[in-house]
Amino acid sequence: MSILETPRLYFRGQISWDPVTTNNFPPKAQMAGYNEATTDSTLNASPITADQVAAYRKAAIDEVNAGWNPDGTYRSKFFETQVNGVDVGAGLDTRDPVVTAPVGFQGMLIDAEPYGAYTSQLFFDEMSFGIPGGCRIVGKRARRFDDRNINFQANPSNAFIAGSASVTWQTVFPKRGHLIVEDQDSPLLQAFNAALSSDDVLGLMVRWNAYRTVYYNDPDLPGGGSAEQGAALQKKLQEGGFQPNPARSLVVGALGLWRRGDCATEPGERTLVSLPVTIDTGPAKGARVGTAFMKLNADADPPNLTLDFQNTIPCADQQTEKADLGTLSVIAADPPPAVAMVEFAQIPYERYNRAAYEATGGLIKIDLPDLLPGAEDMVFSIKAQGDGPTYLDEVRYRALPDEPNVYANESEARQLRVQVYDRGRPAGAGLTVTWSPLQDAGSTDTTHWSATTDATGAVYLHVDTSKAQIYAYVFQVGDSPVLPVVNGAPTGSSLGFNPMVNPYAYIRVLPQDADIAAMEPSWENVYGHVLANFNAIAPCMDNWLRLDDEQQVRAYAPLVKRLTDPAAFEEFRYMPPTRDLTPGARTLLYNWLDGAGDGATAKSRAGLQPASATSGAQEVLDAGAASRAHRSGPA
Amino acid sequence: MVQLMWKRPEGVEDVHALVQTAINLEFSTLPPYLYALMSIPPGENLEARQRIYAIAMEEMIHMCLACNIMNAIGGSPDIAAPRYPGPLPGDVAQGLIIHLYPFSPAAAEQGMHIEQPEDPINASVMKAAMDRAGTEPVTIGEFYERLKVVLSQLPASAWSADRNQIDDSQFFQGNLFKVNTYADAAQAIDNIVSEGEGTPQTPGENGSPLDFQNEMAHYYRFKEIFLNKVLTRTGQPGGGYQWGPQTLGIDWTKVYPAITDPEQHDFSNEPAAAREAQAECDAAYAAMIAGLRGAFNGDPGQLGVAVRAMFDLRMAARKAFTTPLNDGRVAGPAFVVPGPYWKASNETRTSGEVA
Repeated sequence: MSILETPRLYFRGQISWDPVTTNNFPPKAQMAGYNEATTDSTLNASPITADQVAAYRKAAIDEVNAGWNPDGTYRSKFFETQVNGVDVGAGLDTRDPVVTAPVGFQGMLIDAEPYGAYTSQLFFDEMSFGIPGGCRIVGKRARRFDDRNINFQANPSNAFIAGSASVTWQTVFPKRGHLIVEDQDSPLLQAFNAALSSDDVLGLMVRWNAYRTVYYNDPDLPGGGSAEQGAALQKKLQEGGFQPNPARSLVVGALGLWRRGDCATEPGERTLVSLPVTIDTGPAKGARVGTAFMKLNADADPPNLTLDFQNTIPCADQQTEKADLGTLSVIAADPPPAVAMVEFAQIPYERYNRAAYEATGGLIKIDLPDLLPGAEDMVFSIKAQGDGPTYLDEVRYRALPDEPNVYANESEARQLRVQVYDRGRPAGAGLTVTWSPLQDAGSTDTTHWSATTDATGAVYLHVDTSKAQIYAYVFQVGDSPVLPVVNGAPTGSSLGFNPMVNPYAYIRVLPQDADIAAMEPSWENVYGHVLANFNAIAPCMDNWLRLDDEQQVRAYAPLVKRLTDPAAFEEFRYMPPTRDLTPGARTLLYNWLDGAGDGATAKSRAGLQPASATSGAQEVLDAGAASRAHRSGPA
Repeated sequence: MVQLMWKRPEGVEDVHALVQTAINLEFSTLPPYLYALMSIPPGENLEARQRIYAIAMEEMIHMCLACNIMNAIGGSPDIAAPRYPGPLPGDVAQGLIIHLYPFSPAAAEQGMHIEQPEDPINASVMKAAMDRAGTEPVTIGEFYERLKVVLSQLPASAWSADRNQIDDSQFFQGNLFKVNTYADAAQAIDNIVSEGEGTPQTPGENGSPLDFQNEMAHYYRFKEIFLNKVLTRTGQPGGGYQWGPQTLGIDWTKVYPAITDPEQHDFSNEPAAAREAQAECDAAYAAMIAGLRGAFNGDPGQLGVAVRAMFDLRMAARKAFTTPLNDGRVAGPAFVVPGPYWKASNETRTSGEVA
């Protein structure tokens, strides 16, 4: 199951992050802000107009110390990233021919909820391991990467902006969806190809962790930032041109099999959730152990316990040495109400220190030649030895949405499937799933809904699209949910939301903007009500088209229409990268691009489309699940 | 075979001149590569397009690294626009005249000639030759090897840390780095050579078509295009590569019907739209060069200005490649700088009169 069984591949390197930050601030928070409900760029809290674009840009530059990247490209790219090991079942192997092959990835970093920290996505087309002519893998995504399990206490000594955080990214490459595995003389790739011939294997899964994020290319920036760095960036921005200011993170990851029943979008194996234990001494003081995942591979020879510690052990310094928590004990207990507990395995520091972490993509395999009978049914936890704290406790049931971030249009009928996992496998019928909106801190609103799982262990919920908004549902399994779930410290009986603990989905409902659709399709209207908005957020929404140039936009009408087509929503080059083009804005744009002279007539031609782009991606994913075909060897 | 003039340096200014030759050389590869790249219509010949694009990006990095070396030893990089057709800067033999070819076997073959791997360099022979006074022609590979030796002989006081350096803070993450010491300069030169030619042959090693990052070196990428075959590991013990069997799916007809060497074309009687497109290309190219000059001479913000101009050049080139001339063909950017450059050389570019 997943990357927690063999065969698998490990990689490590770095990634750059170049998001535009001007849409990160609500109206009134900054002069150059963004209204994420209405999708309007705002200048001093009012929607931007065509003649205010320059003023917006100036304000964004003046406020650069808060925003750090008003001139980004959204692009995120792996660099210095290579395959650094494989495991076909006999442990780490660094001699496979695919080892040292470059790993290629480029995506657009977009937050579904621009203000928040829990909805980052990487829209991309392909990911590659190796180069043409060598042993290599090329996978086309079915769906973007979604980030999950962000741990804001992963590296307290790297505190600038989000430098202290680490986060997990996952997606899958269906074998029907243009998955190329050219194995040549690579035992690993040969093993992948052999496994892919099984009906039970749907494709390949990749999961990686980003950590130790550095801004301004300066790992020594203090937590409060640097006026000097900000001033230098401002100076560049004032010169004009194209002035990105990307951050960068370290990356470790693993590529393995995606089996039927595996969650495609986030880790769905047996889950050891992070407990609220803060390390109170030593160089990692203030850090918290992050959620881990595990699998007992009882059928392997020898049987083994494989742990996903990609996002688990915090760093003790900026050089990313891991916090030394001593030898950790894996404790197994009989299911309640029994209380018998045994030390199932030990994890010495050498197995989770920096060198081990980098060598095996954060995964730890512990051979268990004498696996206890019935171990699969036991409940696991991980603790320090002796009287030390328990860091991680297994949670049996997890309700994970098929789509971690949902885009919908106002008034559109929209459904979200949520799969319950029972110790890492799809659950059966009869479990109660409760979902409730993520409430503001201090709220006492206990609004919630419940449903019972069907035979596949799934429930389906109708997404509220009654108005334009962005909101989150938090999922709980069982008959005693804790409500409300609040974003912040809990008070009274509420539950404090933590992305490492509580499964969730964000829903972004775009306004229809019917009034914009009905406008006369003139350049003034198109720029003033559609393109100026994106021109303000980032002067170069993509780096080829000047959005304020009527002739240029018109000259590239076919390309603009192709890139803004809802069917292209998952693509790397979809426009706008922010995925917030409303149906009404699209209609007005198309009416103008089509050369319509009359707004009302043209409106009926373009139509207000229920453009739920993610549903298209789901269809691809489903098609991949039903497929058995895959490509191998030279075309 | 390209041969550069080597003059044994008698002082730091001579070293600056050698580094400037390297800058000129790296920059001069960009127009022919970009002309071929931009002559491919969107969506066509994707495998070839990806390879040429990657090469062009790396050539930009090489030029930046060479500028960083120049700044580190106290010089002031110049970015001079080469002329096409013409020899590579410093090519005393002038055995290879560089043309602006649209995407074609000729363009691929020209790329192979520029990036031709070097035979193993005999270090002791080279050392003895370097001790001789005067000038002599050397191959590109040997030029860089000699440059490394010369740089290694500079006193520590010749190196200025962080002087006008451009790193990967904004662009080319992981590939562009500051040159503060000889070790940095040597690394930069090794990257330049390996990305062009592959990892070098040494006694006991046959070399590799892969560079230090295990990506295919430029020469082999161009040859893949020329042959329309993927260079493929044999997977046999002891290594080895073969051409094919996989192809790049190249269709040589899927290219804009572009003329070669537009600088030599008389645009005076061509349609106004074509002349206008040429003028836009010239203006963007000039702005790009001006930005690069500023960036490498103490104003790092100008790098972003140059990149913006590069995007403008791309858009102008697309316009040029899709605007018919009277005979139905098209002309891409000539990569010429209008204005003082042209006046200084007492030449007039006919398209430049439109601007």
